[in-house]
Amino acid sequence: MAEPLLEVSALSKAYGSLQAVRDVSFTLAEGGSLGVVGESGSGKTTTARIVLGLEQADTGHVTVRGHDRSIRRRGRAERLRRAREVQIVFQDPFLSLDPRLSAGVVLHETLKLHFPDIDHARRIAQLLGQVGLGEREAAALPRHLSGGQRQRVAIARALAVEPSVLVLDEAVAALDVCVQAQILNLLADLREQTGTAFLFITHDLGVVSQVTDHLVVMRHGEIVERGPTARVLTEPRHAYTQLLLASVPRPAGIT
Amino acid sequence: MTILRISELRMRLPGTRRPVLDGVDLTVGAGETVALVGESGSGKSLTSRTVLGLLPPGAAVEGTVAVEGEDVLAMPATRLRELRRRTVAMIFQDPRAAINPLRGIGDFLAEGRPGSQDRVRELVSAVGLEHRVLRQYPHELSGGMLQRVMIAAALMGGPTLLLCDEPTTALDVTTQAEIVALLASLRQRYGTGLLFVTHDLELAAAIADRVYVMYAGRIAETGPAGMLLSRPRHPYTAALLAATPRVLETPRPRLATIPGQPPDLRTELAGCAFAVRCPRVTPVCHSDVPEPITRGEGVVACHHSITGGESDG
Repeated sequence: MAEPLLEVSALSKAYGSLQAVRDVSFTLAEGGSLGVVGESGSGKTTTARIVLGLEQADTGHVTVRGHDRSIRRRGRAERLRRAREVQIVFQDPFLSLDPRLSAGVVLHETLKLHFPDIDHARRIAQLLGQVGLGEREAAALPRHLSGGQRQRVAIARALAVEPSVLVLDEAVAALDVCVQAQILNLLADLREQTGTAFLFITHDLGVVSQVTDHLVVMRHGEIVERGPTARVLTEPRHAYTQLLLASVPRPAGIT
Repeated sequence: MTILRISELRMRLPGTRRPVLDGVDLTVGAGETVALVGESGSGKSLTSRTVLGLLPPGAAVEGTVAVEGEDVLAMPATRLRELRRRTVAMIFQDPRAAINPLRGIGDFLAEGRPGSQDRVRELVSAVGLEHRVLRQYPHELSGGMLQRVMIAAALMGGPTLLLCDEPTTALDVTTQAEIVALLASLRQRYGTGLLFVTHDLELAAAIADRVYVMYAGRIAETGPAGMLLSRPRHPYTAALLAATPRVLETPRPRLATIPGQPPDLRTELAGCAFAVRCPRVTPVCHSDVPEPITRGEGVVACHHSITGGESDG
């Protein structure tokens, strides 16, 4: 196997006496899609925040294409370079988008910061097209958009910097099922077109089955099972993975 | 015996062009579990709230909402208070938002019911909690435990009907499975009828005897849970099922989606609410509202319902 795009090795993080993440390691290949599954308190979001650089790990390393992200760096160029390594889409776009900025302005600001020399209007049109937003949506403030449209804006903003890794932290959990299906399909299309690798943080095994190739299952801050998604979901080896699968509501008589 | 009969329920809100509820018919039998499924804005929560006489400000309502034969919409305030105290209880999505954080659990459960200590202890055991929670405060309990407290509180008045509005949506999947099993066992034990409001069609089918699927303020389809899932008759039900990601050995390359969005409250509807998004649409769908038709054990409101019943999923 080629050198992994994202390598997380032996991450640990404690908040006071609470060990949020314990010795977590995984890798994500170029253009790959890895699911991190767990319930509340499993440490999945803390792991994502460390990968992103929003939290510092107590021990362990996060590297993207061999660059270590775990060491604190202050320079502007280094911060921008790191931003181009990893981007994130949060669960609730209403909270993560600036309520005063339209989609077009958000994208323009982002591009101005990262790529000052390119033709911004053309790139903005391209990004909006990629996520399926029109001119009306580009000019509208977040509060005038639907939940699905807001999430598309958040995805366009993340893609604007051409990240190597896109972290999706419960990015489809708050959406209605029809909108969720549209966004999941959109993400699958984007992965094919742009080669961006996905790190999917979710509690939903159906979503994981649909959009990831590999999977780690976390519980109480530790990885309890890992492997190709189809294998883990059809032949779970750890008792906890089996419990998770058994808890998915399934009507009698339907398989 | 029918404990809840909603007939021809219509509700208009100020500043809208179409009714937010448009002729809803729904029944819950004694000890029966009925699920009401729909997406955001379909009117499922509004429908369940009318059963307690909770209406949004400025709402104009027609039709009847009869609990044990008595119309809630016509009840005087004193009668309504009795109804909420004894006959109908409700459990909400977020237990932490529905409980006073400053009061102990025991205090909360016995509130307004002096001399009910034995009942409190019985119910706390019935929902699978230890008696020591009575001395604890909400912040000391997990979300799942707190939802069990809310269920015990709802059962305090010995209701014949329990309204559950997305009671497991905020919970982890393993906790959800526990709460669903708990509700099923309590129904056996106390014979309470359950109206379960959810956005999750598969959860609905797992817990309920019958399922109603709601779209844009109307009942699109209703039928026995198993039948609805294996043989949906309404194109909307079929589309919902096809759009749900599932644990599959070989995932589909893409999920089936339906284009567009549910109709806005600011536009009038001439025909079927689903017409503009429907794959089976014909001109009649845009002009005539489909009447509910009995098909087998279910009822479907569609001009071109799926016959034979095989879904593509």
